[in-house]
Amino acid sequence: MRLILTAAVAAVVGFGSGWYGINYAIPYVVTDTLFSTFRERGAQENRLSPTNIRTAKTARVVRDNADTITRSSIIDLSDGPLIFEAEVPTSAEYWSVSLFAHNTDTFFVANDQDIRKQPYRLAIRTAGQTVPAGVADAEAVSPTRFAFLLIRSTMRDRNDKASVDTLLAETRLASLRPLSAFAKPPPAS
Amino acid sequence: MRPVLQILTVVGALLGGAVLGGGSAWVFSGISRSVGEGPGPWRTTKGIGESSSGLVQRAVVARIGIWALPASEVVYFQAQMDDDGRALSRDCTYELTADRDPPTRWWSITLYRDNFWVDNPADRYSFASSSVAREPGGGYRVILSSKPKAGNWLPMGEVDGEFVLSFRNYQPDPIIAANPEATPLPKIRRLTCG
Repeated sequence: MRLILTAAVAAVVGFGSGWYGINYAIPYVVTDTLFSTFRERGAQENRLSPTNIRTAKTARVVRDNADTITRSSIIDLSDGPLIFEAEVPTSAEYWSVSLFAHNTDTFFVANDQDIRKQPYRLAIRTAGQTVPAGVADAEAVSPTRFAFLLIRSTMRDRNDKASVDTLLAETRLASLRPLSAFAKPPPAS
Repeated sequence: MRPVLQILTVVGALLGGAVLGGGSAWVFSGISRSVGEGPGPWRTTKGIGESSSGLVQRAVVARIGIWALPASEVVYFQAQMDDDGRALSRDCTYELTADRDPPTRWWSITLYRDNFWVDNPADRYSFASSSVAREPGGGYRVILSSKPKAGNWLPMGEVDGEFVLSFRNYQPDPIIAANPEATPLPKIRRLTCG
């Protein structure tokens, strides 16, 4: 009787541990799986993806928004902060840059109505890293060394080629570079 | 019973429980459920994309809506059924109607089969506030069907699966998150089947 009771308690403890452990791990596993898929398709850390329109045949992310042109980058802050710079599109129905921690939590988002200055510069760093004052218009502090950056440019109508082409061109005006590219002193003339 | 067998029994129960718990978590997080609040068949849940998300909600979102934005930026509703509680089927034709827009900067309705866009020659997966053809009074009417239709036709494709409609509200008025039941989202009426 005592053994049955002990085994039952062990089973309940095991169930709870398994439930908690797998739920905790899922966001990391899903993120890493998508990162692997992106790398297989040519993505590189700290480099923005090309500006393309996805179709049912090319979309790889669940519940993707069919009305957005997206650009993204796997963020690795091992070698220091990064600077995201963009000319915010004027023809988008909505535009934003957002950052997601390794566990998928959103830790930063700014949209076209929040941003008052062109070009817009965003510093991305970890809590232990610093960015000199004046380099960027805003700072995003990542809770994890790995993160994901996503630009959403919303189309008026994906089947309206002229407006889509305009937005594609506008969405291309973004870059992601190491802080060192901005912090270096200008060359002596 | 020998002590070794007793230990093995307890360890086996522990491991068996862990496998069952982990397996349940995996299955549960991958099931698209219409839970939460909203008008008619539409449902939204609080905390999506936020660090305040609970463990289970974060796992569910990672599997069926990764990199979702918080409610201050986007409120996501989903519907898996028509207004009469029947699962969406490509054997049927549906009419989505609304006489006004929700209080949001921009909205879109997207159809998914098994969480991905429905492949179709028209390259049409959604309608948005900026692309939907309007009715004279300012409302709109969208038809969901596997057969071509005039007007705002959202193709259901040629393959069966689990169909889900997503209604995204970008830069929503805070009233949407505060009182989702009152959000004017389209009615989903089944017109014909077969």
